[in-house]
Amino acid sequence: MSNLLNQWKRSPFFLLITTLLYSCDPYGERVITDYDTVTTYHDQSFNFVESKTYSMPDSVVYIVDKEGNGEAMDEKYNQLILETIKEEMEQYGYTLLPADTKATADLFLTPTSFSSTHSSGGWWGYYNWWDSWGWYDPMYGWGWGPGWNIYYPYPITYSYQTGTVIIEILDTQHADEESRKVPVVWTAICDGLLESNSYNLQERIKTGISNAFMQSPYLDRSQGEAVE
Amino acid sequence: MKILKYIFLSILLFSTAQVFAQRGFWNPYYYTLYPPHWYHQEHARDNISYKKKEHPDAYMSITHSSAISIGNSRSFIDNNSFIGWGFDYRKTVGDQWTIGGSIQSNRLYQNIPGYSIVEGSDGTHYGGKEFRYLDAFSLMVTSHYYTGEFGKFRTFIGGGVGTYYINREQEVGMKLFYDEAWHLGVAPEIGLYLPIYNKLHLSSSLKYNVAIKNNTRNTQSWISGNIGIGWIF
Repeated sequence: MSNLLNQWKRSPFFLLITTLLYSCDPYGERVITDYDTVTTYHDQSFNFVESKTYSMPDSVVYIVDKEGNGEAMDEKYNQLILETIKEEMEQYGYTLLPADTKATADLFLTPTSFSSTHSSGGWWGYYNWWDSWGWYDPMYGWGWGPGWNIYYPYPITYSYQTGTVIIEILDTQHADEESRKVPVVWTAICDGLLESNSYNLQERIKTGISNAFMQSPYLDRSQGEAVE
Repeated sequence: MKILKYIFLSILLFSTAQVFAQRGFWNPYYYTLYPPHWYHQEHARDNISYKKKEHPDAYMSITHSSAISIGNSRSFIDNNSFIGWGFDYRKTVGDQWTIGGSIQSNRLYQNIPGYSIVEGSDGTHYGGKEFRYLDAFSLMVTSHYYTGEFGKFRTFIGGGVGTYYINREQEVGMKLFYDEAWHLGVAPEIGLYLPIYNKLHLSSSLKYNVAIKNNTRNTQSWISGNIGIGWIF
């Protein structure tokens, strides 16, 4: 028996089987960008092509945890996110109105990022949403303020990871004065983009935001009625 | 991964060549279970009779399994796979027949090029890099018919009847979609046994795996090429 075992170990088949076991990678090769995920939700009853103008703050809101932990976002990423959103909205045929004017745009965009991980949806209820906006001046704008909040007409459950960039479009025309709530009609979640210091981080941010718009053709005003 | 495939193919060729290059390989009596000629000569003096064994009691083999998806499985994964294994046990019934059981596992895998967008059941869209997997595990009762004589090169034809457990996964970025189900199935098979040394033999076969349509999923099918080593009892 021991002879047979020794013969088997010397056999090329032993090498063959061993090599086969080690050569099979059941998950294939992966790189970090393979894990970038863009998730988009939208209110299917809302017709985006009827909206013409939009507005958004001049900085990305950076949500920190309750203890205030988390570093502020690098300014270059802040500008990159805002500029990419502007480019995409312009391509889809929307006109930007300055946020500090009294004119009310049809849509309002809220770019946000997180410094910590949150499980399940509804981070708006966890933080004082309106107070998070550093740009807001109650003397201007929409007439909204502390006490206002948003709501989703579609189910949204998600785990927000550190570095996730979220862009939401609010329907300003249907803000409910009584309940003081504004409906969200589009949510794009670019997962974990700002989590690492990857050398191509800027490219990943730009690509992630562009993909969010690309996979939402119903936002495109030039598509007119052809798109649901 | 590509280099590993070349290494694997080189070793396979080398190993095959080694089998044929072994001393006495082409002698049909060299690797049988029959005692060699000197056994008869020596024991003849002691008047010890030897009863020749007509056929083995059982075959057992462990195989590496590759797979090519076809049909509905091909529309999900358009790729071949080198990831899989199998185990066979065959009890002989007479000279030409065996009955037994087999288990086999195959993983089909595909890296979908470009950017994929998948719509969830609630209308949510998920975008990212997409990878697809199909894991199949089969448990079968088998029967085979053999040509030729025991101890020599033999071909066989047969198949199995049993169940398949199939898990299909679709990963888009970090989002995972999956469904899993049991199927009844059949697996016709042709193959060969090649004696190597003493009780060892090389086993190779082609198996057409058919997991029959169930309540939740269409028929899944793939062809697996199995190669491995076996032991004769």
